[in-house]
Amino acid sequence: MEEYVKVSNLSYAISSKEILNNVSIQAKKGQFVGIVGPNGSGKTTLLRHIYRVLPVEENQIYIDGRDISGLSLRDSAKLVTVMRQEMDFAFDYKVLEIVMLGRSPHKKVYQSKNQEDFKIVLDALNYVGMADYKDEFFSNLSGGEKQRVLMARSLAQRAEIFILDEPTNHLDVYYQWHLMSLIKDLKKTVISVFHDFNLTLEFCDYVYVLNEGSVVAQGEPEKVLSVGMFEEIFRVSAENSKTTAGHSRVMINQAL
Amino acid sequence: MNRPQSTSSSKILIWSLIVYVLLAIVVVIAGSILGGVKIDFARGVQLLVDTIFRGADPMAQGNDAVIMINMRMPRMILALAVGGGLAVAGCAMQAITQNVLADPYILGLSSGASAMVAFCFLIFGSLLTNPLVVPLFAFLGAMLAMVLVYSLGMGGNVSGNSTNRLILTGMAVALILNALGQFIITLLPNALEKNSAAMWMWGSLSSARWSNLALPVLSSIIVTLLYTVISDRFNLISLGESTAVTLGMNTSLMRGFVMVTVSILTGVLISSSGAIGFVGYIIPHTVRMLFGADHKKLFPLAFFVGGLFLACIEVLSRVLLAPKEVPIGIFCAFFGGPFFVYLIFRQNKTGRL
Repeated sequence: MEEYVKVSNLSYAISSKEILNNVSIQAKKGQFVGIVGPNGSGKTTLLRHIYRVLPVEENQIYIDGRDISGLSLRDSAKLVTVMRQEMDFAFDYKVLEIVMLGRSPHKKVYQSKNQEDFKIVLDALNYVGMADYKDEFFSNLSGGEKQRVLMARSLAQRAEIFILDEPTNHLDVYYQWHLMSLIKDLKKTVISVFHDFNLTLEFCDYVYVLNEGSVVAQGEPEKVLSVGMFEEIFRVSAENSKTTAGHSRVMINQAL
Repeated sequence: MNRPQSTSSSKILIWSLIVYVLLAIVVVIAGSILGGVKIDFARGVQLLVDTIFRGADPMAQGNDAVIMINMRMPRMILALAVGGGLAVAGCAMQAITQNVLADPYILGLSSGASAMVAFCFLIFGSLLTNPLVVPLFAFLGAMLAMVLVYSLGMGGNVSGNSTNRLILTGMAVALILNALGQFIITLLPNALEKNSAAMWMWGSLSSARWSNLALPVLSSIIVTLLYTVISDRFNLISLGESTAVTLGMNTSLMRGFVMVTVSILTGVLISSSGAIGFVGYIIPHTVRMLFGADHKKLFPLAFFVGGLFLACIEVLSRVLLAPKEVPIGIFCAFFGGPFFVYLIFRQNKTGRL
């Protein structure tokens, strides 16, 4: 199968400090791709280029064969949706209003929302189990509930590619696993940053390891996340193990 | 099956429009009769009916009719336009800065506009005949302040409390431009110009006449309608720059559009009423608390409530110490200052502004 998302030789520097150095990654359609690496390795910077908060130049990022530097932000937002940590908004919107904003890329400036948009939004809220909260204020929700609402907004966007920029980091272990499996079940193309290696091993089809702005390893997570990799890149000693169901896990011994 | 939210919000809008029109009529009539020169209420109503519905010439009806129809009534209508327009300008600025305290006065747009109006008097003096020159200068002043405050207060890569940084920058710019404006006023040659330039620094609706109402009334209505039509984009940008980008918005285009239109609106309003402050954040805040943050409702409701609020203040400012008149800007500050304190107090308690 051909790559659906392709980042090719992406370099990025802020005032001569190099953040990304010739990074190339790919994701096939429907593939769940993980990006791991120590703090400051450039993971989030890489994702920000894909979701266009950072500027993209020609021939750097392709989606479905199209150079995204030639796409309007609106057209990009129909293809790519992002889940990040957005816990505090300056204004008190209701859950329904927040999720409805996911429909914006599909609407002209003057168009108002119709029955169909409303149905898409309700479906999305139902999928994440937040339909009963649609008239609540977003600010009154717990962290996990907020993140589910933001997932509903991404669903309402009807994009094929999900970018996860550490949306679950601050959540408790239940929500971390629950949200990831909700996303996995969508069978969309996912590119996600991970800090938790057990989540990486469970959910990813393919993983890239970033260190100091470069891709240092890639492949299936069981093969890439080896004891040697943990020692060399992540500076911890670790042991690989398996759950009784045969899923790969990792146990950390200590920081080196 | 649930009804779409648009149904409920258009219902609210239709009802509030009806209530607004009724209240506006009451306030305009009351404001035309009440004031420094006492007019008997029944006689006032009689005179209004005669001139409005029977087409009598106010000049022929005597002094009271002239005061009511030619002086007080345009002031009331200007109050509706200025109050509504400033509240709408405040909503828009709050959305693009994600800051509930942003308003044309606090962020220095009013000071910039006033300073440029004073400058305009200095260079043109009494030769000033084209009615569009003063609003043009006011617009340029507002735009200058807005660009300065935005690029200093929101720019750069400073972590920490950008809410406070923007407000501090606005106050610094307002201080400088205020000083500049006052300085230019002292340079003005004749006393009359000095007086009217000083009025721009304080805020007053006393220069309202039927002949100069069209520009402020039309611009505030047009901008309110325009913003309401594209209200979805305001919802988006109010979530913050990067979120808006990920939802497909060209944020620099939107920001530029809002900065220019808000500066035009503020410039027009300030050149007709002077620097009236605080309406721009009191009203949006109150409307949000009552009706929610969705900009589709926020803009029209802020226009309604802001206009009625300023019209009531205008009547108060004339009645309270009658026959003396308190400048309306001072009255707004009496409300705006404590409201500011209340918001800070609330933030101390709840962590939210």
